[in-house]
Amino acid sequence: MFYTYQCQCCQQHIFPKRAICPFCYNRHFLKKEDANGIIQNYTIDQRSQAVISVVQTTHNVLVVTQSPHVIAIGQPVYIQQNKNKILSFSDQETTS
Amino acid sequence: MQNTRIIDAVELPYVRHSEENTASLLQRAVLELVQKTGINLQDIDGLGVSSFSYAPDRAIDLAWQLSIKPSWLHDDSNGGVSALNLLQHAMAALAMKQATAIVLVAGDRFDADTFHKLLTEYNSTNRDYLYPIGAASPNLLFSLLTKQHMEQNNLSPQDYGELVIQQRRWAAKNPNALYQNPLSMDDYLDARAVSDVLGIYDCVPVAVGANAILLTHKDHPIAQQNQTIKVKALQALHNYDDQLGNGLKTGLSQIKDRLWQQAELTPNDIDVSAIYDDYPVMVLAQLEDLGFFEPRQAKSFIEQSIRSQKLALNTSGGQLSCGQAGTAGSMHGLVEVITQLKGQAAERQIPLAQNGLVTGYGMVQYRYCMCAAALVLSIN
Repeated sequence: MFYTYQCQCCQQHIFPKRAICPFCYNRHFLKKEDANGIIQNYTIDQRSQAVISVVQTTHNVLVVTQSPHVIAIGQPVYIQQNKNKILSFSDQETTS
Repeated sequence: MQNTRIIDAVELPYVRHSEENTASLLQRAVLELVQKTGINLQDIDGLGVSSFSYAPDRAIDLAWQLSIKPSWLHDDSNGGVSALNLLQHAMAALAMKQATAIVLVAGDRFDADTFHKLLTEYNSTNRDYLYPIGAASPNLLFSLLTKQHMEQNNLSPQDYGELVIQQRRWAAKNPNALYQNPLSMDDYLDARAVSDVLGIYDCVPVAVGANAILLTHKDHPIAQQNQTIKVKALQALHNYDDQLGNGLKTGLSQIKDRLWQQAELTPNDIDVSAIYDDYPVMVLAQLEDLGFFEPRQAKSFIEQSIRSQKLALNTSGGQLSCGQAGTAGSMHGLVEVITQLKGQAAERQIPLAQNGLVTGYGMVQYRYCMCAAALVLSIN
């Protein structure tokens, strides 16, 4: 499961959460599930072989994740958050 | 701005490793500046310090160590932009007559442990969201930016390599540069990989060192007796896009017009430039933002202005060849441009250099840096 924060005024989503909505300066957010996305970019750490990817979620938020294996740009993924560890999996699960 | 004169600058040659602590580096940089300019310590009435590793000490502790009694005192730890931030505040202090002779000093010393600590505790976003997934190192974030930039601008690794190689050619003429050996394209392309797109020559090497500059009010006796440098323009814009962009545009894109108008100059008038170079991709991004070339023209600009050294870019060798001594990196380019404008650059001197440009860029938030500033200087 992964959540982004939806501004209660302008409905835009953000992540990580911050004090003020950068779109409309409202202060109130609702935590909304936003786990489906596509790989927008990725890189591979040569030393650890970790795949660090940027996922564009359904609600248009760019989230930095670690993917358990090499992925492709444009590939659909599902984001899971375990405490602060944000992982994206290419075996997409549907949540809606 | 009209009240400020930059008198001179020093850099303690950067080294890769040192047992000397940050306090000693900062003190030594100030004392070297005092010796070079001839100002008395008791005549310094303003002090600004930038450092990540000086904690728990601050500017006032350095003042106490050196028996400086400042009426203006400032700390800044905003990474790659901290030197220009300090300068911006110092100029205001001179204009307001809160001080008449100000020393700005930046320096850092890291070992493996303290550098790891800096990376993992850089800010709360890094600590909470990047470190847990193995992305605390800026190398990976700039790898993502490079990949994006490469695709948008149809660039090859050789294009970034050209910038790195030309900077190394300058470094060969700088006896203080950390790396002076010539670098061929084969060396660059065959270098140890850091990521799938970056090699070691694309990543600024961590170093130990310090820099310092002296600026005074224009009426100060030392300004009357020395060849000085005028600030033609200084503009800054931080967090300009709330981290909602792609990271390949910086705040410089929004202040470009104000900067050149204030300076009454254009990019063509710049004789020497120090563009903050933690990674080659950001040098190109900043040059584009400042109007040195049109969007999507990076490839031809590299060919026409960087490969040919038509643009005197990072003539010290830049941080990519001299190393990044933490926040001192923010002052490295400023010191080099002052050195060039004062005709002190010896073998690498740009003949008749009149106008110089310095940028600052730094402070990674989530996907890229938030801070940007640019400065135009002219010999008085």
